[in-house]
Amino acid sequence: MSERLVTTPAAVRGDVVLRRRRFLDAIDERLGLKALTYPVPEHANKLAYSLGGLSLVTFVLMVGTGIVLTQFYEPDPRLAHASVRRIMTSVDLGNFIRGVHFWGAMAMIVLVGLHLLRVFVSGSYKRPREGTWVVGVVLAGITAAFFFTGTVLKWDQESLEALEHNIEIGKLLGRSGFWFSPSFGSIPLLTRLYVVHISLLPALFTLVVAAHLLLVKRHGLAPSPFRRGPEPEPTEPFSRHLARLGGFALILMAILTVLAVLVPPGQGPSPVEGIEVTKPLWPLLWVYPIENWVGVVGILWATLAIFVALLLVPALDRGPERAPSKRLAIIIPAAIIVAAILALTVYAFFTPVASHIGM
Amino acid sequence: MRLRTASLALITGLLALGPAAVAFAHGAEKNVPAKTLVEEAIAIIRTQPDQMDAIADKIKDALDSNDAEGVNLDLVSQAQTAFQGGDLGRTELLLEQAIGSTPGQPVVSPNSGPRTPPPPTSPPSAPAHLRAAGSSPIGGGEGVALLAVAAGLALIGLVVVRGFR
Repeated sequence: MSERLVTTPAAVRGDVVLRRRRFLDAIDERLGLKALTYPVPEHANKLAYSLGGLSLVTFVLMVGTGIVLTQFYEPDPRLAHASVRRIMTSVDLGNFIRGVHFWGAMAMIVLVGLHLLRVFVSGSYKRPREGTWVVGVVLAGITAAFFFTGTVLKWDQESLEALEHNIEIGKLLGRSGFWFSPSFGSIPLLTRLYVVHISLLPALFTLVVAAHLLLVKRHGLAPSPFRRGPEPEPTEPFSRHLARLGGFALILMAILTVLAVLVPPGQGPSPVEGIEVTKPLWPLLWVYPIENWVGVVGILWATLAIFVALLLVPALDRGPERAPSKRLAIIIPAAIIVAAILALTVYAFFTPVASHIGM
Repeated sequence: MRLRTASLALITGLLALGPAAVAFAHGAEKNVPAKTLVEEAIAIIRTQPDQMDAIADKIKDALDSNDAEGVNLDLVSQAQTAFQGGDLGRTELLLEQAIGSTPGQPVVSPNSGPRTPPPPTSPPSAPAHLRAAGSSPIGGGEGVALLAVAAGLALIGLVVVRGFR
């Protein structure tokens, strides 16, 4: 008998394993996938340390669903409302895709907020990671801009009122707010915001997130302030962290799918200029009482104050300590600010609708 | 004594100025174009149909306005009758026709008229996106299929998360 005929099952298995290894080696030689197996601390695999990655997954999901929506959306003030309605009623899976886009945006706001909070509480912005934090705050700002422009694009009464506030804030900025003026350019402001939403912001986000990831890779994950004992923390390959992140991402997509099916976003009435009869969606609701008290200028100052405070965090807390219990001088004020934002949101929910522009 | 005199003067002054202020405010409404007022009435009907007084005021102010350009006041008058008869749907339709707007379409003509304070409203019972139109769940086979996909995604996700713990 020839050698080929006496091949045992174990030898066949060995042959398959050998072929698979060769195939993977060939792939790795060309794509360098083994570079993803660099060690990361064990705590990187926790959900709290996967929030940044999940935010990025949500962004990709927004791009995917957004590309579908752009095939049917009309960024013209005369047609936008009806085109959204058409997406909801006449486009195959249109209502579902829009629902995933809407709830994905909500998820992204929550995930980015929680990621910022986790990095803050664990003191991960400390030297040498100050730059990573600042770039992260810029990403949070871009995310807020995504949310605001998306709010306007659905073009119902709430959208128009949001846009009118935007115009008023542009006026407050003087000459530097020229872009927000409806008289600038030769196309409607809604169309310009659409361009920003689908091209400028995604490009900006991609560039800044690349810088963020490079900095994370350069400096590595900050040590956990909650780890006890003198022995060094075990590490795991980054590829394992990526796989677990993929698992979390699938669960997130399942949640978004359920929300899009069971609680799809509706659309408010077609917009009418000159009145204020709505309130903003919940992520923007906290500025509503401030606007009631001090006017439209309150939105500008409150938002700026939050972002400036976030940017200054690494400069304000420069000590080596990472444990929250040893950083009470910054943890307590931050907790008060977060509690105030939550309280303002709840208060705004129960506050009657008020008129602010032109009053 | 001086305090009492001053208080009396203040109260008298307020009583005298109060109606004047109201009259002034009402006068200002007459300068608002009827088209703006009709648009506002339509918007209130669409967004806060329970604000009956505000709707009635807007229709009345539109009829009293000094600037009726672009508005068919006969139709506004018919809308007022329909409103008084409790037919909000017909009121909205007539108001839309009064300004030449296609019923159900966006009222796009911009105006720069002075804003009027909106009527006080009670707190919304649900977030805006839930109160808006078209927010009923996706039903039928499509809904079931999507929920099945969600269940599959969740299951695979849980297996992966547990496997790479």
